[in-house]
Amino acid sequence: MIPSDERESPYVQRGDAGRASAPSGRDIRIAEESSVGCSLLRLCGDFDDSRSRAPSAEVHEDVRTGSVGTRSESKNAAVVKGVPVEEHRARNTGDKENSSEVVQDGAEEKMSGPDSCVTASRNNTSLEEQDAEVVRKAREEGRVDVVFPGAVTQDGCYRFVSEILKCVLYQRQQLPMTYEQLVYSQRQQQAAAQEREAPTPRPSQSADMDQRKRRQTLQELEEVLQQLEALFSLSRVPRVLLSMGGSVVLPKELYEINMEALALAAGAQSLPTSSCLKQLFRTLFVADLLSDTRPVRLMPTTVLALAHRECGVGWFRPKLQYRVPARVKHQMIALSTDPGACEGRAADEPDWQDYVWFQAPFAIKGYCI
Amino acid sequence: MEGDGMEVAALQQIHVEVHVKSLSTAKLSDVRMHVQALLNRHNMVFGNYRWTEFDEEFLRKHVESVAIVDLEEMITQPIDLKNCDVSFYVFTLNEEGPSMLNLEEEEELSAANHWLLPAAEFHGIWESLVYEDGVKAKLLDYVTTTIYFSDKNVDSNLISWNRVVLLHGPPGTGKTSLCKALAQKLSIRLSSRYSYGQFVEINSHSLFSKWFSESGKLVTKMFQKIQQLIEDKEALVFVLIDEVESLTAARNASQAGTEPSDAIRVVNSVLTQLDQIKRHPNVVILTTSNVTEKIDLAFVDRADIKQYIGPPSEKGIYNIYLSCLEELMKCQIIYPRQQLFTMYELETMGFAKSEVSEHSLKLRNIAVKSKGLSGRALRKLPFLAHALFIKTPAVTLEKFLEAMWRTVDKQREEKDNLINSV
Repeated sequence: MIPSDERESPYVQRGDAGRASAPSGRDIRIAEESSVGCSLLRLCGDFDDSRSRAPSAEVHEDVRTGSVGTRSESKNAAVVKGVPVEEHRARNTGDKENSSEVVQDGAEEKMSGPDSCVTASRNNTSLEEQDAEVVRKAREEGRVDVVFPGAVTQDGCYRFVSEILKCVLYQRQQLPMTYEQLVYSQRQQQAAAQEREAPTPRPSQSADMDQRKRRQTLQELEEVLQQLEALFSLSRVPRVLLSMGGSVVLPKELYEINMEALALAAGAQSLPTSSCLKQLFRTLFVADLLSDTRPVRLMPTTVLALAHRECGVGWFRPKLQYRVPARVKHQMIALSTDPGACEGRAADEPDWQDYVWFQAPFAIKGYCI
Repeated sequence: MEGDGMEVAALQQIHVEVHVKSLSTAKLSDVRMHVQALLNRHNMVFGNYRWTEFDEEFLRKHVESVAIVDLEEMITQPIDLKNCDVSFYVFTLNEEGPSMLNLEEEEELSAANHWLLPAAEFHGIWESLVYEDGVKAKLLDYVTTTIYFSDKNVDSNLISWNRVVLLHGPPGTGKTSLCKALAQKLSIRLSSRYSYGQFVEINSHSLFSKWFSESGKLVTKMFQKIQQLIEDKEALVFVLIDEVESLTAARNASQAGTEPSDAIRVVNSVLTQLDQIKRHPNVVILTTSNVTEKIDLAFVDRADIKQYIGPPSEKGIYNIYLSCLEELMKCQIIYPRQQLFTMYELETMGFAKSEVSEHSLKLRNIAVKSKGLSGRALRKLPFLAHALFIKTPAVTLEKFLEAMWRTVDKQREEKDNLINSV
């Protein structure tokens, strides 16, 4: 697949370290789960169902199997033993992670596998009712609640936001293909250009324009993602807004990622990010929050994040006067930790008074073919 | 709000604008406290003054400038800030450019440009505009009054005011700039009441549809968009309709058959929509026009203030030139720096000729000679002078004044040629 990004690799290792020490803290739960081991397959089945229901999920699948398929499958065969391939693919699609991490995940499949069915096993009987509730809430209140069964890492929060941002951009038709696919075709093109060496005939005007737009969009998105990661390392970020179209005070669409009720913990006490991502995207696809049959115009996407006043971030512009616009369609993705899962954490709730809005200095313009 | 201006104040009002750096996250109360401390240290002022360099660490880190603004120019004695009613206005500039408002989804052309105030783009316009005494202050007072009236819930059926300002006058006198500057100023002045200002500049041509009878609807759509903005009570909204005669052409002209009935619908639509909007306290409509006689009377009647903006007077021209030369000296295009007096200082000296006032008097002569040129022409005159007669990176003030003198001659010549050839 896509050769992993330089920026991504340290992250993967960090995630790993967290996961390697995970079992000790989760022994009890795994024991509890062993009785319902069969639910693993049940979960996967469900995931496939939701995929066929949500058209977007299918596209992700295509991306994986189409452009990436051969390599990742051979790796799967080599690394993953005794784990159903179907399960693994579901994980891939849900996670949308780079190949290096996929391989890592595969190696630890047995360990994190049972863990990821915690929610499934608990709610086995009422899963369908729950899904219906998720769909209802998304449709009527424009809100999706994702409750994680434990604490997550700060890095994990960044991953959630970055994946949601990529997903929103793609699903709201601001990108013609998924982010991963864009990166892949961009790299392929660069490689091809280098291989040829000899001066090639200039591509036609429109193709040239297309390429330039793609490169610019990718650059913008990568810059925002990079700076977001930096922001997350500087401060806790309880809320992120994706404001699309119009102006910041009166956008056409507004998406909020609310992480106020998310318990944070260091590596050892936290859930693996990949399983959280899977749960998050499963819920998102079920809720079908992002699809809208009407054609959407290109519109600039501005990222706003609530962070601590003194966090010292230099790239984002502080907007002390900013208020979340009240009169626009406001979709909320609320991530939280099950209050029963980690007791005594609510006490160290920070004081949100000292948190102010920061706005990215430019908007991601997006492009279409 | 601090310093409620409607109360009969015996104390002199002093306005202090504090421009906070765009990257600063300091609390407003902290900024206020430190600026207060600064003013306590320098409590005697001799007119408008701007601090840009600070001794204190906090101010250096967070504040771009502190300025005492909009004092009368004639100050006979220094003012002791301790005996004044000092109001602070703390603001940061929005650096984003305008965003577009579209009426129809498939329409590529934007129907209006939309700025968040205070905007970096509009910064400094207010100071650069030079008019007869009191024009700017009058406009500022007018809008402030309308806001106070709305605040106190004055019954608008008994005392009627429309929040419509019409600026008219010959081209190039800065009507549009004045509208932008006024909006910027007010959004700063009223920052404690409204959390932000918005400025919508309507492209009036976009309101005419290619379909017969659709234009009236487009106007309504436009105002619906504006309505959406107004509904946010936190925002103070300024709507600028430039060259308003195109939207509100006199309807009786159409009786002669020269105007299609669709245009009449537009006028009707604008008038009724204006009446709709007037109910909201947080909107001000600014309009400009070159040809007042063509505007529909019903619209003129709705405008509360019809301010004539004429070409600048001799004194105005002098001030414009002065600010241009100051800027050139700051950028070291005119070097070395030399003292120039303000008109007020010249007057108190009785225009006495001396070594120090020589350049200023020369500049005054140029100003007298330039009478009749528009503000726009005046502002570009130093540029032309450099391009036509100087052509070197640095020049003395004396030489530059000489070049300006010749440029004015040339400008007059060009103007005469244009008129003769018509």
